[in-house]
Amino acid sequence: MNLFATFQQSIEIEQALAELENSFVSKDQIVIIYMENEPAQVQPTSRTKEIHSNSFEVGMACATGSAVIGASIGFVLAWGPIIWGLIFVIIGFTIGYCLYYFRKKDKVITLRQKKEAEILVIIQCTEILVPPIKEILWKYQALTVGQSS
Amino acid sequence: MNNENHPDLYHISLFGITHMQQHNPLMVAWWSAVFPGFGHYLLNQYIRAALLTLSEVTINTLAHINEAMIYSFCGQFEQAKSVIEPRWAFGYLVIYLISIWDSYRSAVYQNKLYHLTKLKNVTLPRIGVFSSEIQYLERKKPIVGVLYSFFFPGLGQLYIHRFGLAFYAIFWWWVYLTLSGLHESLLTLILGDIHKSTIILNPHWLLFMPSVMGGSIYHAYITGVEHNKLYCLSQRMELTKRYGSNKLRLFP
Repeated sequence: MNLFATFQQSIEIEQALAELENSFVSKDQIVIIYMENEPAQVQPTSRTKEIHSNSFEVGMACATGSAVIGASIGFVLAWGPIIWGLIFVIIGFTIGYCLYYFRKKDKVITLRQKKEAEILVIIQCTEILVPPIKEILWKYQALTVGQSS
Repeated sequence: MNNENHPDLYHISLFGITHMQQHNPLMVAWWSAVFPGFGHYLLNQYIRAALLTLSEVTINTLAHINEAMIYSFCGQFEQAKSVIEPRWAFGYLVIYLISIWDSYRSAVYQNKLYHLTKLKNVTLPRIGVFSSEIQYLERKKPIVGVLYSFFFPGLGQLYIHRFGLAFYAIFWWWVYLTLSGLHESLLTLILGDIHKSTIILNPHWLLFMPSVMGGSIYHAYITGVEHNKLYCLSQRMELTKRYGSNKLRLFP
């Protein structure tokens, strides 16, 4: 029998593998396959493939700069430096975020599944072992589990 | 390719995880402009970064740079000229500009080092157990670091296990809070007295705060993102080493 399980990369997958090797299968009955994302034409300067993450960084950089200016001019405006500082934070963040987002949004992946299957684990075992192995897989947060005879 | 002379991608020490990463040099330069030293924090050059921030606060205070900035942004140029202290201002300017340039240059070089080191392809440990600390790579939620640092700059650094920097930042945030009167001013503002809340504030110390908070949030965020990448890379190498030689025969 072959059991298939998908996981995210986390400490749980290693716990699952360790526990399986401890009680049910040997090391050479396990195959690990890494599932890749569609290769994107990412600029070498952007940190991740996710556009919102990169936009957030640019937004934070702009927000910080404009907060200093906002707090400064707040000293002579009616509402004072705190309120003007916060207003400029929001304006700066929005400008930075949108500038990056709308310039790059056609070039990178915008939609991302909440939980990606990053690893596929294949375990070879006898039929009798299927239920306890499945139990361990689910216990350590497998995303999906399947089997073939 | 033999990369034996090149260092590891990251190193786990008592003080946290020190790593190399791909930078956008302009972004690093920008953070140096926001607060000298912040660019070097992003480059994981923690000691020189901390010394640069100390120099910034000291010389800025002596030269009255922040007050001059406030007057300039408000269009009161005569007052800006009179408040600034020439004895300290010129030296301040030199250090300010050189620290921007230095962080830019270092980011460009570290990008090359990162590229070389990444090709080295060795498994690195993800945990370090020391007599007084346990440090490890784990998968982080970068947005949690952002929230921590938003509520109190330094806490985001605690979240990413950089506790030395965390308490350094927490200490300075207390200094800024006390000397700027921000919390008292916020209270007065919430109670509805806008005029009084402005008078309570000390402009010089207040003007450090947006930069410090922004920098702390940014640092916590990108470090969280990088830790995730390092975690995945290292785990992948380890699992491949352990199970990579097993052959799959689905259709015998």
